[in-house]
Amino acid sequence: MKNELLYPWDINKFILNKNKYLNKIKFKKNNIITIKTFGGYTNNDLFDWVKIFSSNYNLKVNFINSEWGRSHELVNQKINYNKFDIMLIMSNFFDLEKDINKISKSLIKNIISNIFIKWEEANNNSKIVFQTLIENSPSNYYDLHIESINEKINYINSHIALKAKKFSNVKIIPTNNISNQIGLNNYFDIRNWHSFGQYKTYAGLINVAHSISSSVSSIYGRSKKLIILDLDNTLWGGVFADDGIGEISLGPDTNDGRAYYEFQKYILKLKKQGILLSICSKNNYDNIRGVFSHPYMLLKEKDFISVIINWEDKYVNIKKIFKELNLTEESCIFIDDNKIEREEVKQYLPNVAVPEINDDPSKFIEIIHNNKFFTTFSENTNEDKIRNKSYNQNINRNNYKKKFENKDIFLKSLNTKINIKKLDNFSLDRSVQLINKTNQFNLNSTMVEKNQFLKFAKQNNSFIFTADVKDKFGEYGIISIIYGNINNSDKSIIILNWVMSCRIFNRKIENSIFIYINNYFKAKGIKKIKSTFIQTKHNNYIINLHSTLKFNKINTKHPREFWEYNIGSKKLEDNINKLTV
Amino acid sequence: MKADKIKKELNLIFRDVFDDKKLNINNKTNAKSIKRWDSFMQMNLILSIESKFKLSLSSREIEKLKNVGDMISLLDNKLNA
Repeated sequence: MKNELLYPWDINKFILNKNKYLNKIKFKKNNIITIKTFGGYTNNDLFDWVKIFSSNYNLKVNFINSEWGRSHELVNQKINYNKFDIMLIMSNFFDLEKDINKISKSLIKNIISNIFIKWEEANNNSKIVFQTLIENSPSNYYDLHIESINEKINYINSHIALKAKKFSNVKIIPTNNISNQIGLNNYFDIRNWHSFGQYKTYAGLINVAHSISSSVSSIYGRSKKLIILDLDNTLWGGVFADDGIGEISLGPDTNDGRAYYEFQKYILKLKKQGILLSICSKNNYDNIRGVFSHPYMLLKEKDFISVIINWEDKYVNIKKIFKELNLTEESCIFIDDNKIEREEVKQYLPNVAVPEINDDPSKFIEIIHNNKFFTTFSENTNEDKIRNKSYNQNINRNNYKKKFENKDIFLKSLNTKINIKKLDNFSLDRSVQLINKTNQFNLNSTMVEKNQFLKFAKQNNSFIFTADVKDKFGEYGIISIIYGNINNSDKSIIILNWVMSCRIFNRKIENSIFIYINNYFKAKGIKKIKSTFIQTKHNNYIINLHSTLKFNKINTKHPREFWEYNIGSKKLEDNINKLTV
Repeated sequence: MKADKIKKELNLIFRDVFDDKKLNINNKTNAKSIKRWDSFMQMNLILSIESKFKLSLSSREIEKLKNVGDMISLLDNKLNA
């Protein structure tokens, strides 16, 4: 995480340092996301910034640009859908410029229908579409009746936005909101348009690029999962242990108090979206807990999945939080008003996002929100909502574990039930999300896209199993996906990937799933299971998975390891977890 | 700011924009002498110049620029007017 790329942005610094950022992007050759664009006129700098912002989420993006022209005309051509992953249709104000004085009903109809036909086509070809909306007119420079132009633009936008709700493959990039937010005068640059064919200011271009890359990172499951918060001067004004409950700023009586109260509301909203909250504060726990009875303290102790209050260095405590929750640095943002604390966390945990919130609470929401850390597209999966509950149950389980000395006896006593099913419509969203979000238990970091995955599921020679788990403490939902191909000619199956949520690590769940796979394919006459492991920065947890499951290593071509397992004559028994089908 | 100081700053901008640490410009340097100097690079150059020297150039001024010498004298005029 390059924290200098976080909002608030220094646009001048960005102009001067673009190449420096661009040249630092280094990635393995696999997992390149290709975006094919239509329209937008001069896009080079926009593309560069999408690449730069996406690299902050460890995603490598490449572009295939269209010719120069109006998006609704360019899109009206034969498209080879095998060449890219995402199609970006950049409708914009200058698409309309030529006809600005005669935007007629038939022109609007023509624009809209051209676009909708391509959405449909992309959907049939299992492709994601990013569709930008049209900005309001930059000024009455173009027309004296500016209101009537904007009326027409708003009409087109609302049609596009409404229609997009019916397409699961179409995501709107709200360029019209961006131009409103930063102001049309800061978004459009007519001098740039006449001089370079670039109608946006650099600020406009940075904002749109950031919006596109947030959408990419969201589809590929890179949104943040956890916020770690400081207490004094972050959730309220003042030092609670010194000032006391009557003196801190929180609530309607002071400027700061109102701002902190709004900030807590915002944090609670994020929690409802499924974001985990955690406290990391240098304090004495007994001196601080009284704050939760403050009448305007919206956040309660139970809202936090973990609370660490002591005098140790914050990065040490944060590492403990990651361990307790089985999360990685990349999934977390750290919020602290104290510059020194922020710098220390950046130094020791360079992959944690640390926005520069500084010390004005009325700016906190803007700074955090504009980073689009949590971009989700309406479909919050059921698992997102139960995630908070599930982590809480995990902490109960850990306390319970301390009572047992023998791990197997402990595991058995949890009464774990694993239900293995073939992928269906109900599990599709969650499965795609799990595959793309999981880092630690992931054989090769392959990413999948929903429509393509559904297509894969429908093939005769493929298999996709999902596993959901419950135990005496509660339900986890779907926590593992294993999928691959069946090769009937040599009686083998190939595991293309296997992922598992970190929430159920150390429970021998992988053994149980493997036993199921073994028995299922044994009954179908399959003799061999093939699998490939690619070591990444994050999947150390499963470095010995194949040898533990008694696979034989056939070959190594760094970083790839090729493994095979011979299905024996015996049916394997699971004596820890209970398998149901 | 004197012309030779402007030239030095300009050279740093050129090195950044063309990502070439050894690039040296002179008054005659133009779009023909630097291979990658196309309209996109022109935009990056102009925006970088505007950021660095804290001024803004008009379309007309941009269009008249034929080489680095023109850039230096334009900046010299605007900064020392």
